[in-house]
Amino acid sequence: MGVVMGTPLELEDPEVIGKELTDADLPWVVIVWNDPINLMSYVAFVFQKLFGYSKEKANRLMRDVHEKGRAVVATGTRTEAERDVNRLHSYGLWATMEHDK
Amino acid sequence: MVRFRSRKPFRARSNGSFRVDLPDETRQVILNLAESLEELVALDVPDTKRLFPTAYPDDPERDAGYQIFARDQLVAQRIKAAETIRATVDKTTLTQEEFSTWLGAVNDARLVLGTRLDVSEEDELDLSEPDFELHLLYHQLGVVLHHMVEAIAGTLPDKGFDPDRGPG
Repeated sequence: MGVVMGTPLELEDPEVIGKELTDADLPWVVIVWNDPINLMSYVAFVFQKLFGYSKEKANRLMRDVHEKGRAVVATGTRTEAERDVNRLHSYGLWATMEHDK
Repeated sequence: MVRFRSRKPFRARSNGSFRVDLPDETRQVILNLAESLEELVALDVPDTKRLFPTAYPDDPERDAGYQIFARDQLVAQRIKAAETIRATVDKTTLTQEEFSTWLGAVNDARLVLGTRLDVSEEDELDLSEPDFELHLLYHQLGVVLHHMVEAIAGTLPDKGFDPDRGPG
């Protein structure tokens, strides 16, 4: 499945690009889905807290989740993505992962 | 009953702790909810499904592997949260970790209540509704959570640049 939100966010990170060249497991994408319960401010807070994103980026991703129904919030190896999904679950966010075929 | 006596019931302090200014009855609501969650997560009930999401929606086999460790961990997290809240329910100063636990418990309670009430994004209070009191609690918890997020969000470093863009 393609990334619907445009360019995968983390692929511009030089460190991730370096890993991509050597790691056949890449990329897995971590997706956060819209749900009617979680507060928008809470979702943005979790993105900032867990991923160290700036307030601006966390808010942009939160708005994508809210308006488009989902957003890719991180990419990485399967292990990295699973760790991120698990951290998001521990914060009560509806996160899934899929291989970005 | 959730009540407030201050416009800012939660405040971050410069030493990293948080001041909690809530009436006892509101503290008791938070504790009761955390203890209800502690019991509910031990059962496999539909109301808690949002606390244990699927990681691999397209791959049941891998998801089963994920759930083996994740479910236990997510249950243990809620049991530990109830213990923390029992121990700190009367405190007016919480450490950052304790405050995060309160925050998580309030969010979890909203998730379970919202699931039970099958709320929509535009859920509005309706006095004629049979579940009015639960809807009211759901909305009040939203206000508590809003105040908590406001207090803690200000303590996060805002680097001013995006990690995926680099400085500037």
